[in-house]
Amino acid sequence: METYYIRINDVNNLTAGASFLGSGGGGDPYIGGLMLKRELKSKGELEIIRRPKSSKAFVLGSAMMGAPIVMIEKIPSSSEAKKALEMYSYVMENKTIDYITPLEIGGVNSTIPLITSAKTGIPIVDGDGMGRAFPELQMTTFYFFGVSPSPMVIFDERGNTSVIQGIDGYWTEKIARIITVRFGGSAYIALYGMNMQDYFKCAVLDTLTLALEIGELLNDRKLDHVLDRLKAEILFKGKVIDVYRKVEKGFSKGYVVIEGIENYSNKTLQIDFQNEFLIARTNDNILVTVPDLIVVLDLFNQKPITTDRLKYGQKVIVIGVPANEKLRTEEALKYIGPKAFGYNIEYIPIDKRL
Amino acid sequence: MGIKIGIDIGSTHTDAVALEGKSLIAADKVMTTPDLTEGLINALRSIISKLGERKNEITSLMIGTTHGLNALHQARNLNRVAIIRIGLPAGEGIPPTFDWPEALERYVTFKFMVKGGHEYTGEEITELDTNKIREIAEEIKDKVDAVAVVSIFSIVNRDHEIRAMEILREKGITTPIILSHEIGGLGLLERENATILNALILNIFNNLISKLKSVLSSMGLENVKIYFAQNDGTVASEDFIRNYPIFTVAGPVSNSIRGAYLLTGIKNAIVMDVGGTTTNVGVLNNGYPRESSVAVEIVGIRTNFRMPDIYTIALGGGTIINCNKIGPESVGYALFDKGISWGGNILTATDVAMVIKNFSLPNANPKLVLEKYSAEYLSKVYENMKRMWEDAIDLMKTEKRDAEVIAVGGGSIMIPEKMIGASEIVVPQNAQYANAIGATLTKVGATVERTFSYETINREIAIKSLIDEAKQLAIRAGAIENTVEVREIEELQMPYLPGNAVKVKVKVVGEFS
Repeated sequence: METYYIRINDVNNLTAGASFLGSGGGGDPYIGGLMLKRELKSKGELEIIRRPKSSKAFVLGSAMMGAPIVMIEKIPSSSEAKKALEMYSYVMENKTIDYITPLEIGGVNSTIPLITSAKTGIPIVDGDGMGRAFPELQMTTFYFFGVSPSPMVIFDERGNTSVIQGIDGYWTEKIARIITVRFGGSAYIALYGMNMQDYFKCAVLDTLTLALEIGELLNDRKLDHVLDRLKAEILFKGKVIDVYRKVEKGFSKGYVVIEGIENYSNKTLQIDFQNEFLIARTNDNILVTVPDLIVVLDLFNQKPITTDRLKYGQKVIVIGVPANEKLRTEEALKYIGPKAFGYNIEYIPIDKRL
Repeated sequence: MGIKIGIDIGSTHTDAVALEGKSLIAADKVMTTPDLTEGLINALRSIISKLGERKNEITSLMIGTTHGLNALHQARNLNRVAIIRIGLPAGEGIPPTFDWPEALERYVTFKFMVKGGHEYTGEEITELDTNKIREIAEEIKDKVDAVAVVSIFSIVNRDHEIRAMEILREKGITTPIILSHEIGGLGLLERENATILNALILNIFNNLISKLKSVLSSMGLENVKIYFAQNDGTVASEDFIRNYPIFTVAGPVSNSIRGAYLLTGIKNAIVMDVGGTTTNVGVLNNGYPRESSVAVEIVGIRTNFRMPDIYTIALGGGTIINCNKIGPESVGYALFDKGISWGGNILTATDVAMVIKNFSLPNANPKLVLEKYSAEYLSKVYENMKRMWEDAIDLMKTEKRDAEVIAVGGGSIMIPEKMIGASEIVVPQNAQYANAIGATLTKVGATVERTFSYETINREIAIKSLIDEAKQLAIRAGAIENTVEVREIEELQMPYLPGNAVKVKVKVVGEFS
């Protein structure tokens, strides 16, 4: 199928799937989901293009940057997205933007590019640059393959704009982060412009339709099908007995300890997190590490639990999901492997560990 | 010393108590009526008549009611409300009442979005569009019953909400104007929703209060002061609740938790309020109900004002046992007709508990149960009931070690003497009146929540200003000034934000005037 049409009734599936792929982070897609529903209420449907034909077509990333906690209070106006794209086009000497791509399928940023698409009429491609959620904008497969995030346009609801031409991904992230704070803690961004030929090489493909699909399965309580679809494994079942948190350098860091039940009784699992879940281990045995996904679901309703919502007493299922191969290359692991998050642990793919 | 009357409206019964100091001098139960008010008035008349000549010693009347929730559920006789959201160009992505159920949305007859609002730092997003507020005043004049005003980050800086109210007043708007920073915390949509819901039910409470006053004055009790139970386990005076009725929606649930403390003196415990159809499990945290940390849905609408953290299971005295299935259906108040021990033909949780725990209720004959069911079967059912309660305890505990458990409510007698997760199980005297007693003996309370950036304001000054504000609010709610004390200060650092952004919540309590 070349094109998928997303309608208002699909939004709850998209947000459920996006929360799952957020691996504990990515921000609650509730606000983004409502904004998208509003657009679809008037538009009826939006096209998701699975495989654009022209390799020369130009594709641009769209997302929001900043603190999810700001977004729940200062709800975006949704017209910023359009202006950010116009500014990008202007900076690039009236470049035509043929497609929009998500940067991050996990969490709230799954919804933002669709809103951008609704506002601009530019169709969206079925893929993203993470296949999950990560905290920083250089942590994309686009970047690992050599595509530059710059020039990057950053826009606030008042109409303030900056254009960043960073020397690399780290500097672009650093500068954009400071501007976001000055904008009031959240901003629209347009970045990672590239042609479709490069996009096919470096993007994690089919992730919008994947999020929709697994969201629907989750909402229908078909967890087994989700596991089959993602080649994922149940790592653990148990009860949260301890949660430790601290805020460090703007990140929410900590760990959760889960005491096993059923087949896992007499075992405990610890999962470390920094916005997203990073490492799951029992006593001395490491089960999964980033970039593979660790997902914690409520045992009763099978809804994903984000790291900020963990609390004592929750009964949970922990799932390990193999990351896309594009997140597992040597180059990728420099940015998103366990070492990039400060752990002296070699990355071993989940399929080889279990 | 005076006599205090407490009335709690439950789903099946309305309980009334009269207390002199801490001692219970009279108590009564009447049936709850669909409109709630009739049952409330019946209970009031009945308890007053029980007091005979001593009725003139009554000083105050405390009420725990779900009038607010009921009115919203039925979506009838609500106010026509105008919502003014200040924050454009931000916020435009989701207009007010988007995603509301139609039955309630139709009462929100005017919706405006206006330029203004603040950042998390307290700086303006843009200047407030005062001309637009003036235009709105012209447009809504005489066409609405109440106005709700919400401004982005008003919990950091409330200036635009206050300015908007001043302009509306200058332009002759005389209806109540509800400002969101007085209702809820962080989260624009949730706070806005709560503010609108509050505005929708203002008249419901005005009418209720007028009715109560006329009943009291018909009995020569016009000096009795009326208070309402709030969601946080405290009470507030009727003239405060006239403006903030939404703070009462979970009053009865919180009363039982507060009542559990007042009856036992235990400050930290799990409280199980066992009623006719359900068991509400809550947590006593330093003498008051623990608050829910997540958005609470009311009639399908997300809100974020202070609500008790409650886990409800469908297991109460009237719960129907069918083979190995426990509930969720219940015979409710018909227990004394339909329960097997009363000669009926439905096996209920109470029938099972009476046999296993070896007790009997008035007019009941638990032997009838044993004629129909084997002791082995009954003990298996009771084991399963016990497990349901134990799971609920486990879910509400915050740490691994066992917690003290207090059981209250009409069905508390069914609770096992030992349960996993419970270090001790206490069923206090008068447990079935815990709600009404909780409402009667509690304190006047007020809560204020704000967000500060400690880089722009000194921490001590910030907290002190908040305490002062909460104290003023408590005095408005009926507390005696020199008795008001701080109950809790909660500081929560907000991740992802620089500038040491912190959410601070201050709760104060005081004695009645």
